[in-house]
Amino acid sequence: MNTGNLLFIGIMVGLVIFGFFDFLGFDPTYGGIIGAVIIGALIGTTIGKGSEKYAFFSIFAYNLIAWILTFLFTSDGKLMLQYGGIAIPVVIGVLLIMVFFYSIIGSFGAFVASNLNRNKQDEEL
Amino acid sequence: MIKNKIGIGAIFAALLLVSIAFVPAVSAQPEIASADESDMIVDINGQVTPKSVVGELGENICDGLIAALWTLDEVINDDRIGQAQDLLSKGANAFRNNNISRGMDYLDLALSTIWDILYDWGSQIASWLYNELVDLLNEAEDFINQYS
Repeated sequence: MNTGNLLFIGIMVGLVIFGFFDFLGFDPTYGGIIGAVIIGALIGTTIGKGSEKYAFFSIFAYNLIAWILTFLFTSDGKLMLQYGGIAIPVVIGVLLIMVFFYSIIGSFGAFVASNLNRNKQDEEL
Repeated sequence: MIKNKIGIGAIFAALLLVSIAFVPAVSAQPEIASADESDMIVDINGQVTPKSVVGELGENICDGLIAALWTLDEVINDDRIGQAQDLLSKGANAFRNNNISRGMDYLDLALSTIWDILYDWGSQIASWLYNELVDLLNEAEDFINQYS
């Protein structure tokens, strides 16, 4: 499959998972980690070897898009964004660090999934 | 090929189940027990609003800063750390009750207090870190001398 298509699919599935956890009222930390692992496994099984960087970019992109949408289109997000002062840079910094960690976790997921996939295929040969 | 997918699916189903099993253990806090049973919050106008991702994010930030201040309290001796922690726990409470602007007020106040603390104690924190590092290196040297 085309890699660009796969990145797009990863981002879309990630947004759906994010929205689902948001709807369920899940803690965003756990929701983010579980979503990252799912997307990493999806991309790792599809691309195979060398899928870590695609998983990283895909998870980073979907988390950023989801948080930007949350901040721009929900009333709570708008309230928080309107607030000036030094609290906003802290919030955004913490958010970026969290997204970075989710991406690392997801790329580990992709690494494990691609390795499992490859080893099983080797056994069959 | 189908075997592959079943195996990987089983592993990730197990991962999901295990992580779900840990959620109540990790998120069990005394505040939550006294808070609302459902995820709905009734504000002063009697309107029901669902808990939002943004509120949870703010709550997590406040809790993380409280933990960081608790670590700082081991190093330096300042009353303002307790004040900042009070402000942060009030902020976390406001975020938990979906009161974003009040939570941001408290977070802002707490951050300016933390900024004052760091401004006053910055040099001492640096020297404390330096001393810890030197102690560590001395211990390592002793260890090497003892066993080499």
